[in-house]
Amino acid sequence: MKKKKEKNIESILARAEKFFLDGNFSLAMKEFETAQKKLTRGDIAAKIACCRKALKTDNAKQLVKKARKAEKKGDLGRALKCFQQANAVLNEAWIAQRIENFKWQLTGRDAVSLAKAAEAAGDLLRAATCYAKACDARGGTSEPLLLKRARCLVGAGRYAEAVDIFKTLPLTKAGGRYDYGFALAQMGCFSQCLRVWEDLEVNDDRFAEQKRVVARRLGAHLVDCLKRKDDYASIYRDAFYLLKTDDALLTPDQRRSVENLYAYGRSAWIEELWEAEEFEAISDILTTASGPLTPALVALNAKVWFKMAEDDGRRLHTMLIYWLPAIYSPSIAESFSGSIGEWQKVRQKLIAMAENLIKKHDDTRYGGRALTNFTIDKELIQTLAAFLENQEKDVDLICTPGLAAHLGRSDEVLSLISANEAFFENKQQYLEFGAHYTAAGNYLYRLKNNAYEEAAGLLTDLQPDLERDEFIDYAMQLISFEYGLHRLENGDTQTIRYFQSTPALFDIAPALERKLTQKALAFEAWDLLKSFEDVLFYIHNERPSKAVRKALSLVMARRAVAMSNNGQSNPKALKGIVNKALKLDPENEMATGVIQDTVVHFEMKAMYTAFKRQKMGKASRIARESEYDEVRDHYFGFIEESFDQIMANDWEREEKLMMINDLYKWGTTVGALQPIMDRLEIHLNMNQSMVNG
Amino acid sequence: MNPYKILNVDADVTQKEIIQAVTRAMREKRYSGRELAQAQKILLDPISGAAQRFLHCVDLSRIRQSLERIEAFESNRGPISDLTRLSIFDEDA
Repeated sequence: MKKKKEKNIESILARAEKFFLDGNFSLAMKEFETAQKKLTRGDIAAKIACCRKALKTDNAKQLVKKARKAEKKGDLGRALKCFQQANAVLNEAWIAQRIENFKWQLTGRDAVSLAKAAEAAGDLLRAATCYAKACDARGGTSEPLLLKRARCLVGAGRYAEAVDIFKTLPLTKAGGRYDYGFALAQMGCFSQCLRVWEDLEVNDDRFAEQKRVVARRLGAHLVDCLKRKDDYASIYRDAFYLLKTDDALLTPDQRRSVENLYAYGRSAWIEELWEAEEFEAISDILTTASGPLTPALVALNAKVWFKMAEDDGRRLHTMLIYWLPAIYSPSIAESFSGSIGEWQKVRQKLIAMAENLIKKHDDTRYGGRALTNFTIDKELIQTLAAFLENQEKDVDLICTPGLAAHLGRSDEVLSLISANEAFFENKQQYLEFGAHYTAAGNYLYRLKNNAYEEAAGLLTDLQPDLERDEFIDYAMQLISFEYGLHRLENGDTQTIRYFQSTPALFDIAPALERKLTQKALAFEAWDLLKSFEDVLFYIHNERPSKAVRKALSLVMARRAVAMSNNGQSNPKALKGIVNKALKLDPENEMATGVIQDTVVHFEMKAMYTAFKRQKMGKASRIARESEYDEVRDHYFGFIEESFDQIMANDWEREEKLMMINDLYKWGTTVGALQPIMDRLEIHLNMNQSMVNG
Repeated sequence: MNPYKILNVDADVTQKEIIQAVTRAMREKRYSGRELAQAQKILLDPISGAAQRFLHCVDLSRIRQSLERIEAFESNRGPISDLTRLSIFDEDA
């Protein structure tokens, strides 16, 4: 019986150990406790304690899981409780940290509840304090809580604190922006208030009235600044802002006052900036300036850009737009000196100063073309000034093409030019002058800078819907001609298309006709001459003129010679071409001379070849048929030389006589009236007498 | 070179003032004798002086003088406490 009892306890302990090893501490503890009741052993008690501890740890881990689940569900209270219970067993640092966080968050949540309650009760200052606390509980970065705090502060009249918070917030919603602007207005920052309220699109009369009130306060504030001669920069900026905002903010009277404030603030601030040599800032003001560009402002632009161009060649271009119009403006010239006679001297001095500045940047890509452009502008403005001299009307149109385009007054200048056509020496001068003020003007500057490819852009770039006039037509004809000539000189053989408008151009500009003919005669390479010949031929057919006809004749003759010299044509072809050239211009002395020289040269060459091959018949025929005595002189020279050689030889007398007789016979077929023929005849007669005697 | 800056004189300086300014500038020794002489020469010459005045001096007081009086805001001074906060935006925070 005892044995059975022992066996029973052993099996209980065995089961307990098995459960223990499997990690099933709950069943293991139950078995160990059953065994302990019967045995009361120390080792079993230790095992029971071990199981109890393991069970507590498992339980704590379950609590951690529950805490996480509760956190996910937003049940911060339950999560905190679970973490606290778990950590009583586990005692881990991370759980302690989480417990602290939850406590903060729960405090914050409480604070938000308190804040809402305070807001509802109208205690906005307390609400703001609670929101601050809640925000702190969330690390101080909760934008929604900060916004609520700031809005409560506005409600509580604590504007400065509210503004400090608003400044840090993105403010995407209308409520926040309104309160921010409201707080700014209350602090006297009217300009900032209007800027914050700027795009609040709210159709509410009370809000519109508030904006008007703030705008008027801003106006009054700017007047005060002006009276104190204080902060001209703000006067300028804020007045500028008021002018470009909604018209309904100001009455017409107020608007006029703001315009004056703007002009006043701008001029005074510019003077301050000028003293400080802040030219860049002045140019920014002038660039964004509204209102008319008066002569004073043109002059200011001129000197500001001049100052900037002293250090930076990129500014030259803009400087040149203003410089000449400024110094040719009569109202500016009045400030030069009391004496009208001295104005021109001062102008020349100022022109020289600008030229020196341009030369300073000559080696840069900005300075390269500037001098040419300035020279063009100088001529243009001097002409405009000359025909507006002694006129009070239109003096503000004395400007360069650049400024006219900038002011949108090019058409007015063109009308003025058209009305004064008689002022110009000829049609070409008139058209070229006006063309600079058209949309084609920029291309003419490029042309004058020998930038032919850029200038030719006119032929393709000009908008098709652009209204063409005589000035633009002229510019297109001129550029087409000059570009064609440029390509021609550079070996392009297909240039006729560029000269299609040239006949009409030559009617206006005879100097260009001379230019083409002179260029044509300056080349010697036969392929280039051929291209020139083609162009001249085309123009001659379209618009016959003495100059082109004579040039064509010369070019034809020269090309024929060049081809012949290169072995690319025979004397017959040469003669044919030169004869055609002579037909075009019988006075073509060059053709006459060329034809003579060349034909003589080729006839003599052929004659000497015949001599060499002892073909006296052929040589005699060439000499006989030649139009030139020079050929015959050489022929008889050869006869004489041959006679002397025969005589110098010690051949038999009969043999010599036979040979001399042959010479004489061939010679008579060419001409008998030659000294050598007399010598031959005398020699033959003497020998004949001796034979007979 | 800005002769007005070198001699520290205004645009409307007289010949007498130019000479006085040169004397003063010589004592101050901020510029060399050559620079001072050149500045004096330029300003005493009516043509060069006028050209330099155009380039270096800005006087826009004429623009300001031409403006009308600015009166339209006379009745809009003082604090803005009469501006009451509108509640129309309260729902849109």
